[in-house]
Amino acid sequence: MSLRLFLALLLLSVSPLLLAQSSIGLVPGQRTNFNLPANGYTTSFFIDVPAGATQFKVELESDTPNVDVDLMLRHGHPFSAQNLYGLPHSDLSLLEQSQYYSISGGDDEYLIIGASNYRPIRAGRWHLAVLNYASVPVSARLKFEHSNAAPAQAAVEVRFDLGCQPNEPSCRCNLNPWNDNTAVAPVGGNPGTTLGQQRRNAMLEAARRLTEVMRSEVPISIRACWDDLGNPSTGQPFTIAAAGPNDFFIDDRSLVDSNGDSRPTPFLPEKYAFFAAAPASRLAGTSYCRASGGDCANRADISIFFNQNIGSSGNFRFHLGYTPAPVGSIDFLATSVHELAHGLGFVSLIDLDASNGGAVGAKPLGRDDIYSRKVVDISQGGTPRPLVRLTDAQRASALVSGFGLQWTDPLALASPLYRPIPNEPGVRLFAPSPLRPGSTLSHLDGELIGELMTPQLNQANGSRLLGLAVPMLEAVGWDPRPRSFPTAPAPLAGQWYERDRSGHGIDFQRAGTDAAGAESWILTFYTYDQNGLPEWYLAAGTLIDGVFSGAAANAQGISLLRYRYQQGANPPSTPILAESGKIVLDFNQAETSAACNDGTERPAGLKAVMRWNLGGQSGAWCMEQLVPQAQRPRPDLTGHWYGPSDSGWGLSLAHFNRPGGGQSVFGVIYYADATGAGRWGLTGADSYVPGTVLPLGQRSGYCRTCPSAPTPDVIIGNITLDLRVPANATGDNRLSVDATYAGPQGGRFLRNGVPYQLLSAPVPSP
Amino acid sequence: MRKIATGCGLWLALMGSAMAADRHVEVDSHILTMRADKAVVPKALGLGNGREPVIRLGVQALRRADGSIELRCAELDRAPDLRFMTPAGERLP
Repeated sequence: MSLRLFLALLLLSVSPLLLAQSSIGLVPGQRTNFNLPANGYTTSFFIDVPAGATQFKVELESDTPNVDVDLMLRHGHPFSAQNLYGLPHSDLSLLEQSQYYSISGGDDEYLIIGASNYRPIRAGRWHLAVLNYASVPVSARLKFEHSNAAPAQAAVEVRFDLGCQPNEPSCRCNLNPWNDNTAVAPVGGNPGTTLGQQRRNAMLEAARRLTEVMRSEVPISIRACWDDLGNPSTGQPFTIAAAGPNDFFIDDRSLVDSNGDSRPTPFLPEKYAFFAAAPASRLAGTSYCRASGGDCANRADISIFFNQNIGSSGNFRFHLGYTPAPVGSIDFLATSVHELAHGLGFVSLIDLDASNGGAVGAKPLGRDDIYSRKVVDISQGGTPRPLVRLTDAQRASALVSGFGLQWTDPLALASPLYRPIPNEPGVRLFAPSPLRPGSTLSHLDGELIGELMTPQLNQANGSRLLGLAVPMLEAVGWDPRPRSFPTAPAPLAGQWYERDRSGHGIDFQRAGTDAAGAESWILTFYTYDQNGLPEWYLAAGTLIDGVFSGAAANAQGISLLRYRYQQGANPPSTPILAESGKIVLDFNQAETSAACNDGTERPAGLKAVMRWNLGGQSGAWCMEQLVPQAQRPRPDLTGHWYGPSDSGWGLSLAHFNRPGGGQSVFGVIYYADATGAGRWGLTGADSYVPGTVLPLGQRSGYCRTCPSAPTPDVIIGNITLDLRVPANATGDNRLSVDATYAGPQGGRFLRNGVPYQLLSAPVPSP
Repeated sequence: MRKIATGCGLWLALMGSAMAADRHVEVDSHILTMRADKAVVPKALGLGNGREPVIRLGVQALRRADGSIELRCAELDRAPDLRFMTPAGERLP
């Protein structure tokens, strides 16, 4: 596709006549039936949420047997019906427009949005996309309801029937103890008359006590099992019960699969941190299996295991009553509530055990978890240091510091249960020396008598109430308080760079608005090939909720295009898909990403994580803007320039006020060598005067995955920038270039007085 | 055996609205550009597959010298290889 054609497509995309968008409103309480073709999708539906509503629900079902339909939702502008190249969307590009989705492998999807979701309920229009994965047409129906009810207590689904599945070779889940028919007398308020019944009752009572203090419209699913966790008769320590989250969600587009893709997780309030499955599902507004995809029949948020060798009699026996356990027995209820709290997210993922091949203090995949984000280290004195921002070695030291780990999230500090300790900023967590894997960090300090989440369960003093764990769980995804709707970051058009990859960069320019109202942008990536020779790529895409995703130019999702130029051809530039790749640029909370916390000091200001995939390689770079808003002149010539009568090459210009007065420019010209391969050169002027002849340099660099190295320049010609008015019309703007490219691809690129104009939208004056 | 344990959050009870008659509409539709196979869409999450715990914390019991029981927490399991997994449990690079 030529740049000219590309521009035409962008212009076409702003036409209001392109396609009808979101034209069918759902009526509250009424089912709306419709048909979708095989592998088809629609963006036709919307809902209008009235003022005063505190929650709403959208349900999707199908009457067609054995099909997979999915539901997506967003507030703001509608879903676009097609991408900027006029192609239908892929499933991934629909997800990239979503703020919520329900995408299980079945035909029963729902979304419930309340006041405490990251993008909370908001009066006005919300838009839907419905997708049919089946290879047959489906008959489906949607239903929308709203309410002004208060947030509900969480519902818990305890699965006493979810045994090992064929695809779980290492699974050990014994369900028989739940069905033990041994007759027993009711005990401590537990009315069960068989052992199995009492066990189930006690488990349900533990779940009930948990949910008394948790708010969620989405049910929590618990898989309850028994297993051989050691035998009390051996005299050796043995495990009574164990639990944990079955999954974690993270919103990090730099983590990619083998196709170089990653699914967004826009419903999490904090990016670049793992959330346990249960709170993540609550925030997703749908159940775990619907938020993650896949089947719903045999998956759960949490698994809990009890030791099948512990009976109801003998030296070690479970007390199954709802009352405190008598001396000599083990409190089933307190143990269960404690363990389930870990399953709800009261757990750090920082590695505490080097025996599994990791390093003590290491983070999973180098990423934060939301629990550890709430912890600071004070063991070294001075200003408390966020635990997740330390090196592995520093974290390893903090973990055995005795008092250094402090939970400082304000929700816990505001709790009446919080008892401050002089010179300590928060709630002290367990940090003994030597390290105690499984106890360190993921528990309160043992001195907090009466708390349930201490590393030793003191049955004499401990209650079955979660205590401080309630505000701590709220901080990891269970906060029921109303939120305000977030504002998407608004990046400044211009050049952006990664300071660790000096010499590479992008020109990121706004082009317009697509038919659905989303901003369309153009991204030019100037970089180097494996031999250090300059090369460039172009992506057109939309910026939705602060994330730029290149529009797919083919069915494989290729969005970062390499062009081949042939002067005189029509069109003169064509994309070489085999040499192209993919790109995502995410401006949300980039300062918390692994890419922006790599040990390099970066000043405050808006940043973005740029994930690129090219030639089987990928990278995640922390991008900063080259020229801050305060230095932008008026008028601002910054933009992507081209000649409409001579397309296929262009200029990216940065225009800025010079300290001490005057205006400077820095330009990257994109042209072609003698083989038609895209090359780029640099120019600049400390004091810009239109019409001045400026030197044109070629930079020798280092490849995208190579170690950073010096990037020397050689002069290969000159360029005359006679650019005066930033507009989408040529006017008096002219550009001349005379470049002689050395080497086997060498040749001369010569243009004289080409009428030039902005391809991108003029940058608004500050 | 499957049981809803707790909670008053059942939506139908919450809503209580009368159901109006169904309606049928015609929608604009498009055919996906990608193969309609969810395997090509990556999983949103990185650790685990919703079946076995990614990390499992447990309570261990020790008999003290005086005969009393000490309940102490310990880490039982941690997924040995924390990599992306599909909902079906397939590991991704």
